[in-house]
Amino acid sequence: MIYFYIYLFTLLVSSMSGLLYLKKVDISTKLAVALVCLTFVVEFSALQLYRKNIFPSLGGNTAPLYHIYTCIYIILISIYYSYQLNLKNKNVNIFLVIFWIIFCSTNVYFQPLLSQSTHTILLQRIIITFLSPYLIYKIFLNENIIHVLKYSHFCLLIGLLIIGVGGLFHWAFFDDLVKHHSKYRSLLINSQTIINTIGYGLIGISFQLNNKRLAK
Amino acid sequence: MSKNDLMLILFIGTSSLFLFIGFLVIFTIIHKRKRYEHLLEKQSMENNYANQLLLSRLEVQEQSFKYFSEEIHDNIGQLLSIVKMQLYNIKSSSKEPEVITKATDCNELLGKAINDLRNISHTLNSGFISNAGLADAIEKDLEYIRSAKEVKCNLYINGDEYSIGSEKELLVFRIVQETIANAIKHARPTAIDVALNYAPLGISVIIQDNGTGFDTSEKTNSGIGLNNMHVRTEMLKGKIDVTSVKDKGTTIKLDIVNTTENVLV
Repeated sequence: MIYFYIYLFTLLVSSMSGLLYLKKVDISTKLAVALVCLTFVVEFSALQLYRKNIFPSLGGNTAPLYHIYTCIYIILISIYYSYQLNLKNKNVNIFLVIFWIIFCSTNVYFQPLLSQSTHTILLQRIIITFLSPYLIYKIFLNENIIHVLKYSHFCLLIGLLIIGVGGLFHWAFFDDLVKHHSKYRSLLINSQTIINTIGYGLIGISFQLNNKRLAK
Repeated sequence: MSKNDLMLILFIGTSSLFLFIGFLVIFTIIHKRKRYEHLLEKQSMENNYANQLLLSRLEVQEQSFKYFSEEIHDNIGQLLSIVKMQLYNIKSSSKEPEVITKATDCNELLGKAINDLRNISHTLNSGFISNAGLADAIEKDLEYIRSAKEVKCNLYINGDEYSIGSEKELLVFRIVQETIANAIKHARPTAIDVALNYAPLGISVIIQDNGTGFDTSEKTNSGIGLNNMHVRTEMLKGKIDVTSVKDKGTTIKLDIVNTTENVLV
């Protein structure tokens, strides 16, 4: 449980850091701030639901919450990448929002609200795992970006990539892991929490870097 | 798939992807660092090239000054001396008082012109500056400005005079000359004070005028004259500080540390 509290604290600090400079950061970083804040609110709410055992009859009582969360998460992450890929067309973003809402609604049919929405989570991890290296490669090619460690989106992409890669196989085999590997449950949850803590920590640092970059 | 196989896939898969991220990040950082070093090297080469170019320009300028100085001294100076001699002969041979008076006046004016030309010739000649020393060369320049009787010029020397090397003295002299010329040209001062301070660690020159002054922050004020001053200061490895107050005047302070290093090597 200690890892989860550290994770929550990291999310809180990252959210605060993003919100503090929200007016000063660029639009795609604003999306990342929204994403981190949303994650903090959801994880904190999940902890409360778990502790107070609200709706115990639902079994996995946090699963419905994660259905909504993963839907908003995948929308935000898609729009973030569309901005990073310079798809400045408004229609693309509208299409992404509509597409993911339809996808998530349809997914409820295959994965009911009482079960984990692993399909959506897996898809978002795949998107992150493929698009982040591509964007890092674009940064690599961009001759104007010299101090890469001071470049906020490099840090943000690394953070996202750690989260994406760390959870890719975990969510791909989630059902099997739950069914047959219950003895590894705490190990898997802890490793996921540590990976997410590092990822969101890096994203928090990127907010600071973005603020400094724009201040210049 | 056995239970252990799944855990193995999970572990190996995730580890491989993390290794890939690590490789990507390290490779990007190393590439960018190399690029940065390359840029620094390129910038340094460009600076060196610009410095060499400026050095050549200043050398050409110095050669031109020398040529003008020699021409004034050997050609125009000689011609004027002959004219002066002829005038003297006219004055001596004439018995008409009006001619004698006019010849005497012309002779005096010609004498002044020859003297002024000699001053100009001296201040343009790097050899003269090397032989006379910095203080005398500045004094000579101020004397020439004083002769126009429009600007009051003073030279103050503090400390015991010593030579900082003829090359450096020439550069300092050119900075002083440029500053005074700029002041007269743009600021219309009524007084210019030059203070030459000799200290054990180096020398400082303060040139102060009571002219119209200018806004030092304006980019339009960084003209060729000021730029040349900065380049020469850089060659001296010194420091130049320009302060100006509108309608109060301008002060330029030049600090040069006394080192045995050659200029701009």
